[in-house]
Amino acid sequence: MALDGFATASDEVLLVLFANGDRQAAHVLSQRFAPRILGYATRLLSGDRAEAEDVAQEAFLRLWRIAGDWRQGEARVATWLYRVTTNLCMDRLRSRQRRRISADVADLPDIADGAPSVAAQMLQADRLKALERALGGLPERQRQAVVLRHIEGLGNPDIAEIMDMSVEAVESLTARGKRALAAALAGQRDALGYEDDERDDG
Amino acid sequence: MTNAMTGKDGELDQLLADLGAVRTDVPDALMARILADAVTVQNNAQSVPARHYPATGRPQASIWARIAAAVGGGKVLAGLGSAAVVGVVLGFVQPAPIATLSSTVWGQNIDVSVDLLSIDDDFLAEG
Repeated sequence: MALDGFATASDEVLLVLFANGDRQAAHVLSQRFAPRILGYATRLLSGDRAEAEDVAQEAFLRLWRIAGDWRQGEARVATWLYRVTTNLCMDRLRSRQRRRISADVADLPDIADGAPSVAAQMLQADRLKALERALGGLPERQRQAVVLRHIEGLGNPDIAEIMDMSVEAVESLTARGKRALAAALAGQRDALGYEDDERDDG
Repeated sequence: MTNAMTGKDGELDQLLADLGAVRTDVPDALMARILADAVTVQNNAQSVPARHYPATGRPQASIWARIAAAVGGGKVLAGLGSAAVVGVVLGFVQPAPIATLSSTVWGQNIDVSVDLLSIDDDFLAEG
């Protein structure tokens, strides 16, 4: 298959190609999912990047191993990967007995689009760091639901499958998580420049 | 945060969306580890061609089991067998309803003869 074909091939097709010995398929699948899986694991593990990398590697290893037995149409590769990553993170969080690890958000990259001023970029970076900290303070399940819904952009049925719960339970978790986030950020509105925005708007 | 943002819910939604737009950079070392695992798994799979039947001695399926699997399973094979038996019985017995049906459809008795190997064939006659 030509490289163009790989780029447009579905996840399942790539997995079948991988199972048939095609190494380029592994490259494409890794590039397609590794950033999302690593980012997701990092957030679930409250910013522990090293542990998140181990989780991402393990999730992909399990994907490679199951490729030969993959039943097409029964699950989507993305959903499967998120689910395995969720379970791996849960195991690690339990194993360290919910020991808090402070979020390392100092290396947050800048937002690519737009060209805001330096001051605006710094303000935005502060806001994102504050959000990451607030996310890290949520209960595990709420954090998973909020991250999958609002950061990874998945639909509630997919999240329900990943988290092994009903769609209604996902909606409830997400709503509670967002309320908790809003409450956590409420005390920082002035420091994060939101009050200035409102005065500007007024 | 844009001025068009109204209310704290909107601010939070926008902030979450902004965080989602941040692409996580995957270190080269991690990508190398992931791909090395992929190569290892592929090599292991190729070195064990009959991996569904490990060396622990799972017996090979019998010829009948393989035929049944080829036509779609034991139930399908049983159905085919039953249909064949019924066809043979109908051919020998030719029940009255069949004869009645054929005469009704055709309107008359038809004798059909097929000369599969004609002795008048010129090719054979030249022999």
